[in-house]
Amino acid sequence: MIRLILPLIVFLLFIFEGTIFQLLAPDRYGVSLLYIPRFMVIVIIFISIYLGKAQGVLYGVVFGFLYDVVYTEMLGLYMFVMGLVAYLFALNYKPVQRSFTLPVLTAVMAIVALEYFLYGMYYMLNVTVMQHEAFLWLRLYPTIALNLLFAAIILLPFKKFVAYLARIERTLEE
Amino acid sequence: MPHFFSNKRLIVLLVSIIILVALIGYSTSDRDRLTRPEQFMRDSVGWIQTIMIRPAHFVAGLFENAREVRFLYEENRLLKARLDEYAQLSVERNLLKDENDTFKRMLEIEESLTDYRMRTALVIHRSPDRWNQHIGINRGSEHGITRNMAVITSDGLIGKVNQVGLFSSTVQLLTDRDRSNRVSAMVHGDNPVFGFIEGYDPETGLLVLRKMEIDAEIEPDQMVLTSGLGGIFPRGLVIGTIKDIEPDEYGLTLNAYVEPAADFYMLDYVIVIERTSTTIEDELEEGDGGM
Repeated sequence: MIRLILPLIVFLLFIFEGTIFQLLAPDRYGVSLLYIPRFMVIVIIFISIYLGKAQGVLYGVVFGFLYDVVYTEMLGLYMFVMGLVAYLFALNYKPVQRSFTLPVLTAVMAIVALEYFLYGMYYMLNVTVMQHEAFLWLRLYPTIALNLLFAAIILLPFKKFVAYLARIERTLEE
Repeated sequence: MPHFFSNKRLIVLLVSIIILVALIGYSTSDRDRLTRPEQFMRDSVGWIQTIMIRPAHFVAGLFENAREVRFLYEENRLLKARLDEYAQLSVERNLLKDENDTFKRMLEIEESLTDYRMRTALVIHRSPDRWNQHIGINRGSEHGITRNMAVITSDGLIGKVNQVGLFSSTVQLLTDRDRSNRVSAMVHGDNPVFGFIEGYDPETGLLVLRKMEIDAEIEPDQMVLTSGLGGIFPRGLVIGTIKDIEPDEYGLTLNAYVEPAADFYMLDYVIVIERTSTTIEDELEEGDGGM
């Protein structure tokens, strides 16, 4: 039962990005900057850092595929890129795990990598004709700001939750 | 990290790139319908989204109400003034409708391009990465929705149904950049001018109406409506008003920039339109994006 909590949290974030966040999204009220929520990616990067590479990649691929099917209709893109960033940014070393800024920065770097990958792919597939300058100012910087904030807020509760999970596992083993 | 990419990992990476390219190729080929597993995943997620969005709407509605209260007095006065006008118009409309029905019966016209049936739907999601402009609605083939039906709000046309599941479907907005995303439209006037809504300029927020005859007489502020000639949409759904007119790149046809009547961002409830007059035979419209 306790193992289901983490997938459930990631799934709720997945739903949240498409539904409730869209009611609060700034472009609904006439703001031209695009704040793209990548909350699910942040939690998946944290999973890679604290629970290991294999788990992170698994979450990345599964939820990436769900994202592809439900939100984009272009299969494979998110599945690939989310698995890839979960693999590349899985810095599960003790100094990173202990610090506060490093995991947050890692998550933000992962989002930058993901945004650039998607921008490149969509530009190649002619889904967008947005110029690089516009991409930076209208999309990337606001997105970094929003997700930096979310990562900083969510990191400590997430660490507590991971410690709690480990404690439960240990008592179950005994 | 000495063994960052060992042989095994390199092979896994290459295989996943091959799968990625194959999947992209599969999904960019104009698919008429979703596969069963996709439909199932969408419907299940759509069901949860419907549960989550209702309370969210309620809370968001409270805030919006509080903001609107300030303008109520002003708005009320304006609307009261309009009310007299409305009574007069509705009498006139009824008279005209009766007259029209009589004429139609005399001419034995049974159906017209303007006939349609409406179904309301709740917007349950919008793709959070703004690369494509799709929204999800909580109505699917079980409720009679099929591909390419027109979708409007109370203000005007917003797009068409793109993919249909059993209990949910996605709508492609007019602002989506996709080469099959076009609507056959007409400029309303004494001599209607026909063209296609193709493309959207995100910087100005205007739709582009293309392929109109070069000697057509069009003026700014004229209404643009759906023409119903594409075979799928009914005639007479409002798209917007003309803002600007210019010849196209080759000087052979006219392009016009159209200010959309509907707001593509404030979407909570939408109306799906089913045309009731005869549509083109299935084999004829094959391979066509629908208009």
